[in-house]
Amino acid sequence: MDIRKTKEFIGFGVLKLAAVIVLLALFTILYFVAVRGIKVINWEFLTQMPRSGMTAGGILPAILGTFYLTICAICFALPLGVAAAIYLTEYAKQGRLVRIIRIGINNLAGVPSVVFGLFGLAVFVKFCGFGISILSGGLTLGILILPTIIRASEEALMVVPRSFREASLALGATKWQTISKVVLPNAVSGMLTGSILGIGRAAGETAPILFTAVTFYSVRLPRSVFSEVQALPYHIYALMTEGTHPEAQIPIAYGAALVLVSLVLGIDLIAIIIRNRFRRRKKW
Amino acid sequence: MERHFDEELSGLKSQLLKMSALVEEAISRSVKALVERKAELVEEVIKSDEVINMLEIEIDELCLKLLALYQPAAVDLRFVCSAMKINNELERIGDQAVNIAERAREVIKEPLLKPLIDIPRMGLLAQKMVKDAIDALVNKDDALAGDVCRRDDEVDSLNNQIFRELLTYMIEDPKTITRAVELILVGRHLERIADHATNISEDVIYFLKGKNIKHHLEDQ
Amino acid sequence: MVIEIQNSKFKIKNEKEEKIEKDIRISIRDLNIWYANTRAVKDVSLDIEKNKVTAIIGPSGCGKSTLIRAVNRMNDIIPGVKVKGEILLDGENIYDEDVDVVTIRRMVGMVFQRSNPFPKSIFENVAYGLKINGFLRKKEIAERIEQSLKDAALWDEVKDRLGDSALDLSGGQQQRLCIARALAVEPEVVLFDEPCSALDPVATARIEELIQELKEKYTIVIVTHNMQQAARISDFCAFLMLGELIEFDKTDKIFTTPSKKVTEDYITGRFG
Repeated sequence: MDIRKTKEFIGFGVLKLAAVIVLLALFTILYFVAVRGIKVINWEFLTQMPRSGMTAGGILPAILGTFYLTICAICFALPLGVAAAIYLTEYAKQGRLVRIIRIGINNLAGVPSVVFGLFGLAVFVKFCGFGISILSGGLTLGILILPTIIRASEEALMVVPRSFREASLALGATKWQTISKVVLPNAVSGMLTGSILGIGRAAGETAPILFTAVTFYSVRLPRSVFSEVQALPYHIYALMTEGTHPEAQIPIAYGAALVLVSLVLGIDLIAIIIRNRFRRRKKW
Repeated sequence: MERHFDEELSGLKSQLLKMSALVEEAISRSVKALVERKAELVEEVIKSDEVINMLEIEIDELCLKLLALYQPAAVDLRFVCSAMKINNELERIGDQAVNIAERAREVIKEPLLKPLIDIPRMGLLAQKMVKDAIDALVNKDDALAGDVCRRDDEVDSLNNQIFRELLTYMIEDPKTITRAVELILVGRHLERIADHATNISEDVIYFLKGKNIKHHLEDQ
Repeated sequence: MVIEIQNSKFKIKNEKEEKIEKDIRISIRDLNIWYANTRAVKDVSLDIEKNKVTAIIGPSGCGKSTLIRAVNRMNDIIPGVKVKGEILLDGENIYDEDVDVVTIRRMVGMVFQRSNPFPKSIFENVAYGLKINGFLRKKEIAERIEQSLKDAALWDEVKDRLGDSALDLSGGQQQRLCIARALAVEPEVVLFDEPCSALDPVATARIEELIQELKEKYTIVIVTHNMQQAARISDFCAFLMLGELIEFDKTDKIFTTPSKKVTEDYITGRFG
């Protein structure tokens, strides 16, 4: 065989193999979690409080806790992130300062999540006095996903063609009118997609909420943003490492893991649907 | 930058040169036919006019083609438009040469009225004017073209001189009227040729300078 | 006969005198524009007459787009652009510090090289300029939209589908929509920056026809790299090279007897 063809064959082969390995790993995890988790999942499991020192009953507080924390993180990070992105791409003079800010944001994304947890503990729990609460945890998660949201939003703003801005400005629109009426409506899909993917990641994080929001065991549902909560990732962690009845706790942990994975995949699916919906509409 | 269009333009230029050569030849032959009383030259002039007429149509078509295909502007546009007009003028000069030849055919049937001195001079002058006008076009020499325009007066005064001279013949002896009128007409034809040459020179000046000097517009 | 000739002489004289009292809408005075450190426009001065089409021609990179974009201060949005000199719009310098750039852009509309309708409906595209300028009454907006679409010779083609997306229109229609959008805010001057460079000959011919009609109501400045186009549609023509205004005159003069050798070389394609 021709040597060039051989090289091509080998090259493609390696690439294909890599893809197959990645898919295999993903499906193995999903299969493993699903097979073990599905056994314990039923209506009661999803809607009941835990009983008998977490050896029986459901995981409702953990599901709700994760939900609350995520909502709190979104409420904090989305407006802030979008506003920062608009400022950076549209208003700020593109110079050294903006470059430094961008580098800062990118570095923030690289910080280990446990460090965010410590930061949350120091600032929100202690300094602000929010205590171990949904608010502290939500804000910490918010800061964790802020870089993702800012970057996604910046990219979404930058792909809006310059010609749209020019057309609007040439009609006598102010800068803010141009941004709010032309740029944002055309960037919103990209912003949402990026942000939701970030949120999906936040929902599965353990370390940031470890010191700021969660409690190991609670028989009550949280009453306000200042309450401690249970959360799925931490709940799994707790079931596997603490307690005295591993034989009863481990199946529950797998059940909780399946719920968490489904939740994250569900969030990602929403992002994909939104993106496809908008992509069909835009033709420029 | 050398353009394909330049080749077409030089093609047009050489067609004009060819036409002008034929026309000059026609003038010289027609005057020669009269002066040297050669009937065979008359037929030659009439025959060559057919070639001139064909050439006129060819050049016209070439100009139209260039206008349509290249949409020339500025100096190119002025050249093509001037070429169309010059082409027309040359053809008219050819017709005048035929007219002279036809007069010659009549004149040489009769005895000589008087020795011809001014008419050959005028013929040479007119022929030179045509030649110089075309040379001015080819060599882009606007000074020469201006000179041609000024020479028109010389031809005009020669024509007047011929007319007055022949008039005295006719007054003295009415029997000479037929022959004298023929000669007066020859003078007039030559004067017309000089006018056409002047028009050509004016077109050349418009092509070269973009200035219209016709009808002494400038002086006003 | 003599009297007649004298009369016609008299007329010629009169025409010359009329030429002096022309109606100038925009007056560019010693304009210099820098991009960072390169001077894109050098000491350009020219007067643009009211209800006339003025074309700006020149080789690529001669600064013609920069010059036209200076007239509605669109260069302001490009970082690092510096402008020195004056552009007087009806006698007022648009680069004065107390002049509101938004007002200038409302009075001086612009149509761009590539048609750039918003990804909205046809109606919304034309309505945009009205809405941002504070027109809120529905009836008035509808009337203005109909009028501008008619002025842009697009009404008959779109009147039954104003709600359709503007992006479903053909390239030529999109460009006419952009013209309608610019006309809707009733500018005094309309700038065209190579409006036909992305269009086929038939669509180009329609836009050219349209520009000729628009000059009844508006003062028009057009940048074009198509010299035949400049010759066909403009009344005045400015030839720019390397940022300098080489020649500015009536279009027929430029295209028959330009006074500068460089201009002649450019428009006869001998350039380079």
